Amino acid sequence: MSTATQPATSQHGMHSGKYLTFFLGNEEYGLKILAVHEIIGMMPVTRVPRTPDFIRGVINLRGKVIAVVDLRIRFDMEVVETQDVCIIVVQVRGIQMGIVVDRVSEVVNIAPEEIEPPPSFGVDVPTDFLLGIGKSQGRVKLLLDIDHVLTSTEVVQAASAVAGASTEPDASPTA
Amino acid sequence: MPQPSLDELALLLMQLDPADEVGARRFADAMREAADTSAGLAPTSIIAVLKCTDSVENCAATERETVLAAAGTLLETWMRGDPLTWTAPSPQSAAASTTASTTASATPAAPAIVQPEVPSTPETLPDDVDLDLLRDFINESREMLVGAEAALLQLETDPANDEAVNTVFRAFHTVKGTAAFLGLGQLSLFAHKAESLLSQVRDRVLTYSVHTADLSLQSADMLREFLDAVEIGTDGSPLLLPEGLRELTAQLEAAATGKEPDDPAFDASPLPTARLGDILVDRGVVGRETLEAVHAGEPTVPLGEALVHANAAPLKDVAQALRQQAQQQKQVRQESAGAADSIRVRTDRLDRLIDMVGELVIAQAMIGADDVVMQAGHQGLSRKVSMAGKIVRDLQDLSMSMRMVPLKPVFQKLARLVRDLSQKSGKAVEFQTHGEDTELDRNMVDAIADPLVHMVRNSLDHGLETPAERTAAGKRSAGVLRLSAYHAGGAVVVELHDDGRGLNREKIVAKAIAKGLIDSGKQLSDHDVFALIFAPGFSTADQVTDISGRGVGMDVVRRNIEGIRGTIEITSAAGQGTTFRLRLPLTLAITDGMLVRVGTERYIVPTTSIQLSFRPNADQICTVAGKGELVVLRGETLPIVRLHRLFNVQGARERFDESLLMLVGDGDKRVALMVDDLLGQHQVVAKSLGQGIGRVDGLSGGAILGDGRVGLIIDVGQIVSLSRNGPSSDESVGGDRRAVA
Repeated sequence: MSTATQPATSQHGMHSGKYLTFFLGNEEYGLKILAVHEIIGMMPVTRVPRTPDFIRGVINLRGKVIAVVDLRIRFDMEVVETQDVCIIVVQVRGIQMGIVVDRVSEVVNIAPEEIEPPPSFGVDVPTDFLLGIGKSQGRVKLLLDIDHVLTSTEVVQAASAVAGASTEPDASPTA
Repeated sequence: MPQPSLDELALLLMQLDPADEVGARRFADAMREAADTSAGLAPTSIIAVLKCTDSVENCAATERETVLAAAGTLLETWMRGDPLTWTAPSPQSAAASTTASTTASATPAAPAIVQPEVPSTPETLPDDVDLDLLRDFINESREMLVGAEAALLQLETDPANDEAVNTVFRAFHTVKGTAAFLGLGQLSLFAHKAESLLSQVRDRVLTYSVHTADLSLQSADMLREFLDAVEIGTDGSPLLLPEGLRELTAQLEAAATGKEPDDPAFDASPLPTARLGDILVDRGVVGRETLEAVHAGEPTVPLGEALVHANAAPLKDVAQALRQQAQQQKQVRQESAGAADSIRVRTDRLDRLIDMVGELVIAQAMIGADDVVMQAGHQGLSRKVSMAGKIVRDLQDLSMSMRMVPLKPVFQKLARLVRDLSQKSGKAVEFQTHGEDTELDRNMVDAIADPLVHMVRNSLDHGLETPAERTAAGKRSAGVLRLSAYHAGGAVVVELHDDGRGLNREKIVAKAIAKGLIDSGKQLSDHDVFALIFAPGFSTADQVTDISGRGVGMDVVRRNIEGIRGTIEITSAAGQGTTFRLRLPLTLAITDGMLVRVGTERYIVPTTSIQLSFRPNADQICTVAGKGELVVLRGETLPIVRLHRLFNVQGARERFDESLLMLVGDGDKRVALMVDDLLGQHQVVAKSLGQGIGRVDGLSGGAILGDGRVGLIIDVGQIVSLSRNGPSSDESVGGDRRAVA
């Protein structure tokens, strides 16, 4: 029995380490510090046509063109532009991308015992983009699997033609 | 036969340790002595002995064992009193020869000496070889071979050009030396053979003939193949020796039938310069005949002195000529020193540097446009900012120039091609090049190399006539193929002109009709007709030849050229020849683009794909089934593509009398692109949109605009196909709906 639970705890325990936390609304998310390249202020984003909505567009990062993902749209949250909005530049599998977040919070160290596996809410609330839930200083931090969040965008992009058609009808009656 | 002496030699050989270089030299000396003193030895045999000693002395340490074994065999033949031949050991000959051949023919087609299995020549590269060194060696050698080839071609027209001979010699010599150092015995050996031939030319033992030229060119090719093989071998796979190596080696040896000179220490030899006599003749001081007569009279006295003695030339002029010669020598020395005055830089670093300088330019422009700087009362600051701006722009020019390389290597490659093709086809061709120092971005130079090869083949095969046809037409029997490059209007033009028969309009039209490309040639201009040869699968050659006309033709050329945003056009006059003119952008990195505004967004449309922009009148517009919009322009109807609909942009102008139409694309793929406004022409550095987004239909990339924001570059070809297939795709239906909602 213990052998069955052992891998589970160690699997989530291995996500322990330093996290950069940021806010989306009231929710605090954690991003593995190793994936974070830099934090930059909001800058004009050029919208790229014919891409999924959650891709805000592209920015000029010191001469390099990188894509920027809006996490609020990605997670189907209400889009509110706050004062402290900024872009966290992350590097995933050698690809640099920016993610738009409401506010950067702090860097915390999360110990293995503070991490729990992601909860399950059924199909309505997908949680596969979470590595786990960290509890530090009495607050809950949602530890993001940024690799999953960003690399699945390409998959989403390819499927967007179909997805766009199937989700759009909700909006179309207003037309 | 002085048997005892030969026995002594055999003894010396047996005691010799292959690693002992001094011992090897002593043995070689003894052998030469024996050859000198022995009576009744045939001249060919003496040569064989001398070749043998040369090999013993000059072979690489790793090969010495093999060479000595071969020398032993030679010695045995000698003892028997048979005529001698010497073939330097190589694994092929080792495998092929089983018995001692006793022929003394001048062409040792079969290896003459039994050679043992060669343990020291590796099947793979030596284990301890430094791969970095090896790569450098491969690259350097390739460059040297390119230079050598150019020099060889120079020799074609000017066989007395000592400097060219020396260049080739130097290339072969360096390859030989380095190859030996790296333990590439086979390569070193072959380079030695090639070098020997040239050293004889240099030392005027041999005259430079067509045969020598062919052999030398083939040697250069062979060395290149060798290098390729070595490169493949760097990952540990077995070293495959190039085909035909043995035959060529044999030919080289046959050509060098004279005494093989000792391995010359080239560095000590005088630098190539004009000879004193030549200078004096050029200056008209003394006639060639007088000069030769004087020289023949006193062959041992230096020419200058002899001339003055004979009162054939005034002292003053001779002194002047001597000074000129000295100066030339100095110049040549400087030039050869200048060749080494460069370092290799990885191209990705260079690209990064250019990128960063580009950023610097934009950052500087942003500072310059800052309100604080622009305010009155800050003259000092704005002066400093503009000074910094000037430096930054200079820096940008400089960094751009770093990627620029001359077209020379490409032209040289083509010169070689022309030579080979003209021999193969029996058409005499005079190949002229102009402006080979014109510089282009390195990537561009690579990109036009293949199309140019194709064009040259085409011109030679279809353009130029045979000598008989030419004579019949009252032309010189040798055709002229002229390749020139020059700058024109911010672009580089590469022109290929032949003075052949010219394009045959009727034949092209007939062929195009047969292929179903056109209905009739009646209303077509010459320009349109000639453009037909770029159609896929089009070829007017009556028969497929070895040189060209394999069905893949000029359409590939055009595609390649257009791929690098160049254009190609033809002019031709029957009986007078054809000119292909390539117009290429200076660099691939910079796109000339028109910045256009569509609603809140700005896009860049490449200038090369814009034909014209205009504001349409209401009576020019018509609709099909209430939806498809067309514009009538000069009797042509073109579909209108509303960019704001395609890209789902808010706030764009909807009315035709407020917006502009841009005629983009070419051929039957033209559309009128509807935009709000033109914002001006810009030169932008094209970048990819980043791997995070990947490819986006309708866009070819992005570029940083003057205000630091990213502008998107439109791919006109994709826009055209999007606008055709668009309405049926789910995505654009969704997009339209969103736009309305």
